Amino acid sequence: MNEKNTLFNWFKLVLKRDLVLSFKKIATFMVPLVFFLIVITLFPLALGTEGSFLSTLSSGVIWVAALLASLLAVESIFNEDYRDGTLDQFLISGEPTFILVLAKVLAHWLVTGAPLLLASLISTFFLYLPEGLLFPLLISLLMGTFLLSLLGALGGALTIGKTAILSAVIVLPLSVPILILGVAVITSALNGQDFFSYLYFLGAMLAIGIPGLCLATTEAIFINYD
Amino acid sequence: MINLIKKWLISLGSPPLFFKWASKILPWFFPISILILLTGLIWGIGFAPTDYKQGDVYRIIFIHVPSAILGQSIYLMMAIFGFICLIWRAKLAGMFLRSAAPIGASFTLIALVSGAVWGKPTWGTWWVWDARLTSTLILFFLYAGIISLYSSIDNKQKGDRAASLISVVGVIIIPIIKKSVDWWQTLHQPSTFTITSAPSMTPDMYLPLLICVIGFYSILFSILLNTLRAEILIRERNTSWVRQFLNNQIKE
Amino acid sequence: MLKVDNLSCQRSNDLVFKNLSFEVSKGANTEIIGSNGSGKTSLLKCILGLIEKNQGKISWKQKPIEETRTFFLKSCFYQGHQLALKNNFTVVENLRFSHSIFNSNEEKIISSLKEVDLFEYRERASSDLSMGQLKRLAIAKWLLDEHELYLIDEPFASLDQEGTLLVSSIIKNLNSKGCSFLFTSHTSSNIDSREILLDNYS
Repeated sequence: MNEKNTLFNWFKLVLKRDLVLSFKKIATFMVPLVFFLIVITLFPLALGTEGSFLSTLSSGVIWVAALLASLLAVESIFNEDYRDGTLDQFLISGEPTFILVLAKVLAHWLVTGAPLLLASLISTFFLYLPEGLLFPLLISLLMGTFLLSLLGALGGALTIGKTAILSAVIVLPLSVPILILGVAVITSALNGQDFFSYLYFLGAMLAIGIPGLCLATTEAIFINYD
Repeated sequence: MINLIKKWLISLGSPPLFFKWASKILPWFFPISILILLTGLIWGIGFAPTDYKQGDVYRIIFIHVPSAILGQSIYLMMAIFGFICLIWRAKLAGMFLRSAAPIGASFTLIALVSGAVWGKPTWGTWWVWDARLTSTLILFFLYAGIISLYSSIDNKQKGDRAASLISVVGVIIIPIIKKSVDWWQTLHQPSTFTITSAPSMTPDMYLPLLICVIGFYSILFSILLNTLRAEILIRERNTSWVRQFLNNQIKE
Repeated sequence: MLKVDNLSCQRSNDLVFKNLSFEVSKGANTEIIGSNGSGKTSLLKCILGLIEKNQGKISWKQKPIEETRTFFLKSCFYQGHQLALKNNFTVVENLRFSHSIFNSNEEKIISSLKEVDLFEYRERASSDLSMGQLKRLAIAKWLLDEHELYLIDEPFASLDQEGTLLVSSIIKNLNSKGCSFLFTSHTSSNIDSREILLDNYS
């Protein structure tokens, strides 16, 4: 087997394993989803049900809920594997840990981020999202939730063996730009401005974040090990 | 020459030598820093001219600006030492991080509180969602995150390196945070409060301010040296040189 | 094959063992015996590079282990105190997603399940198995692929008489194929091996 092929197989093995595992355990993708919808429901309960008011808040509320849901679900990335010894096995497999992190981030996004996109579709009806903002909302959430998965992986790796709330405290301040840019996309679309410039910036952050944050996560795993 | 610098740097990196060096410097450096700080504060609060727009309220600047500068520069220092701690695994760099984080958080908090106290009479409100205030608040949260991270890890060296990693990542993200907060400002413009421009400074105003900044920095270094000394003693308590040092202390 | 020379290891300021030297040769077994907290697990993790060593040298096939880390890791198998089994997976899936095989070889999986007497449980969820059965499932992983060196933490813990005999026979069988074992326990087992009393090195 040549080198490239082995790396890809390693990536595929981890990804497939994580996906199969989360389909076996419904909670892994149900809990963030339900959490998201509950948070969305809390806002009209707290702020009143006046349509125009809710519709101005809608994009921000959806974004905050998505942020919390995806950062609180980091438990499944490394902690469970650490507890049952699987992470040990991964690290001593002789395969690059960087690829492992990449596969785990992708799996985490597929399991939590992608369902959130669907749930946000439902929540646009709850919060009366203004017409024509669906596309900017979905595309900004698509890129934003992946960035959040990357950040969440870093937080999860730094707090291996600890609670998810600690990793949220560490990572939430760093996620401010993602939230601002994500909401900026929608706000500028609402004002009829060109929102692609913000999307490009989100894309640039993804391009730097995928290698950069995965590298930092790899380092964080090793810190927890020796 | 290069070898000499190298030797000096290595000697600084070793805890016992640093301890000795710090113990020598502190007894005279600490009084001097107090002196500089008092000079700056007394000059600024007692003798600098009154601002024609804001009156005497502006004098809070002599605390507010230095602590805001320190809050930011301590984070930068932490990132630099964090980098050193990650790459060369220098023990002392990790200890620096641990001693600096609470100090940085305190100065950021002082900047926020003094800003609020300043804001009440000038803007008529304790808090304004202005770009600079918001970034400072986020900086405070970053400090809080770092402190809660290393205090939750039992193994000290692991804690140091985890905190180093997050401060290095943070320092890369901070410019992005600032930039995005600026955008956020331009997108949402609800503020009915226009921020009154900082008092235009005459030399007899900014000279005491400069002395205050220098005074704050020197106080910072005194506190840092002292907390580092304590941290070194705690960490190296099982080594022979610490035992010897403590025995000598008891005899005296 | 594996040579440990003058090794010392530290766990958060306490030295767990020091000046430990031994050698594992091809097809032979080495047993690390020690009381709780004597550093048995630390020794295995130290050899694998999961924790840092303090002092000393470890070499694999006459080369320092730092130089041949990937090569070494690929030719050894490690089973820790945690068995790295997922409760949500079925018995077969646990083997299928075991790290050591990329292209899951179904025949190998079935034959190794038969060998540890778990074949009729193959579609059961692993959470239904008893502790002893889980242990045997972990042993089935040894058989998926032959490795030059097996590092096993407490292979005999929570096994009944029958299980102990099974492990012994599997180890003997693998020995005859040239595989070596380095394992830990707190009492001497009746496997033909060189014994190292770790308590002597604290």
